[in-house]
Formats: sequence, C-alpha cells, structure tokens
Amino acid sequence: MPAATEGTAMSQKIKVILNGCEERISEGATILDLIALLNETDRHLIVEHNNFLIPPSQYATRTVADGDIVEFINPNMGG
Amino acid sequence: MADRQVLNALERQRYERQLIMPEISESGQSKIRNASIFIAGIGGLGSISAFYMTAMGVGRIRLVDRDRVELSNLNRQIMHRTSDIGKWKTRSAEEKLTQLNPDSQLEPIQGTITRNNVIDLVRGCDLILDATDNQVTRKVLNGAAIALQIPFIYGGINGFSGMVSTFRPKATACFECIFPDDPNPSAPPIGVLGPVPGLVASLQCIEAVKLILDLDPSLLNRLLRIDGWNMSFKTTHLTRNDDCNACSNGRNSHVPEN
Repeated sequence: MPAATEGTAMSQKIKVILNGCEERISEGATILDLIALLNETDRHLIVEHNNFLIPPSQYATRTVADGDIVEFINPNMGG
Repeated sequence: MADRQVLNALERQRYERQLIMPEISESGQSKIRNASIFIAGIGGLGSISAFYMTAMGVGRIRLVDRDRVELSNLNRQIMHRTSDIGKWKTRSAEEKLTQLNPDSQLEPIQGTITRNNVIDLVRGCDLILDATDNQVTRKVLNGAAIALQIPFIYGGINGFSGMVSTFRPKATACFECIFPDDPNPSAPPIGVLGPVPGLVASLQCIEAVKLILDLDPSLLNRLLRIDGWNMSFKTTHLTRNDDCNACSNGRNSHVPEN
C-alpha cells in the first residue's frame, strides 16, 4: 500500500493541494504515492510540484511537504 | 546574397507600425527581413503563424505540410477556404501568403517530416515554429533543432487548452525533457476550437520575433499553460532532465545525424 494511504495511528498527516483540491496525506508521501492515490493510469501525464516540472525518474523519490501544490497535467499535442 | 540593411520606401510604409516600436525600429526590421524560418504544418497553428510571420516581413519562410485541405479543417485552419478543398495545403498557403506580402520568399514543401529527411528540410533556417498535430513529429523536429543548434518553439492545443514553450538546444530544457514518454498510438482525435490554436500560434510568433531580434524569448525553461475555459495562464518552470534521451548524455535516440 502506498505511503499516501497508509492509516497507522502514529502517521503524521499533512495537507497538500492536489489538482486544485486539498488532500490529507501521510507525511513522507512521494509523487508516485499521489499518482496511486488518484488511481492515475495515464503515463503520458506530466507532473508539476510547486510550479516545477518533475521528471518521471524522480516520481518515486520526490516527497511532498505540508502546503505543497501538485498538479497532474495533460500534454497538449494537437495543432 | 549579402543581407540588405536599408529599407526601401515601400517597406517603410508597410512596416511603419513595427518601425515605431523601439524594440524593433529599422535595425530590427532588417533582422526580420533577413531571417529564415521553418514552419512545420499549415493546419490550425500554422495558418496563424504563417500569416503573421509573412505579414511582419520575415524574409524567407519554409512551409512543410503533407495534407490536402478537407472540409473538416475549415472550422479552425483559417488559411484555407471552401474553394481550396482538395488542394495541397502548401499550395493553398502559397496563394494566400503571396497575396499578403510579396516581399517574403516562400518555400512551400509538400511532404511528410520524418527522422530521415528532417535535417535536409530544416537546414538553413534560423528557428523552427512547431505547428504540427502530433508528438512523433515534434520529437523529430526537436531532434533536428538539437542537431542543428537552432531554437524550437513548441505549441500544442487540446480543446480549450494550449501550451507554449521555447527550447534553446543545450542551454534549456528541450521538448523531450518535458514529454519523455512515447506517444499514445491509440489516442482519439481531439476537439479543437479555432481561437485556441489562434492564441497559441500568436504567442509562438511573439517568441519567434524576439529570437529574430536577438532578444531572449520569455518562455525559455518555462511551459506556458493556457486554460481557455477558466481563462487562466499558468507557468511551469522547467529544468533540463539529466535522463533526457534527446539532449542529455542519454542515448540521443531521437536526434538525427547532422
């Protein structure tokens, strides 16, 4: 189970803004945990963390902190 | 042929509203006239960028598109008319752009941009304006921009949304730093509202002008995200991806040989 959804009594909860909505998640959650939390399966989405783009290679290691803003962004490939 | 620095009387009239801009003036207009640009696609985005770049007096414009005009293009691809249906888009564009500004030398090329021909197509141009409708061709163009060391101005749309960014090879993030995944082959056709590619292509043209004037464009290492539904403009900061296959020390899998 990803860290974001672990429910131990001792786990500290933090608030983040995920796709514009406030979410309470476990401290130490990674971008990958947030992707699992939203059941996001589209691997083409790109991820913005506090206004910076995060490369996929960092999804498993990049942790979020209280008050952080994370957005999953759909690439625009039409023209 | 040597670049011509002095404008003639007709050029002074035609470009009067650009010449009175301190950012352009006569020296900037000479740079615009001596510029060579590559526009990839003459659809929703390319209709706008080709018109504006021709109108402002860019000296040489190479236009590439593989398609003929279809009825279903006409809600957004305002280069083309109902009477153009069935015509190559390059031919349709050449007719309109020649009427608009005979000063611009047009190089319409009917064909498909591929990894094998992209270097030959783009060589000799100062920058690439992206007006394609798919990720595969954008990756190919990004590779050519890196190989030829010229800027690549990305623009993309989807419904009410759009994105713009400017990439300078080796100095900034590139297209593949942002979109490293392979394209989704089963992606359904997207909806397009004409003003959205109009807006995105206009922003790309503003970036292109700054590059031609030897000024720093504003969207280096920034991805401008436009939401026409909520009328919001947001910027995502970019950094080079050390694992990028195109511009870092990775496999360079999408960079054609120069």
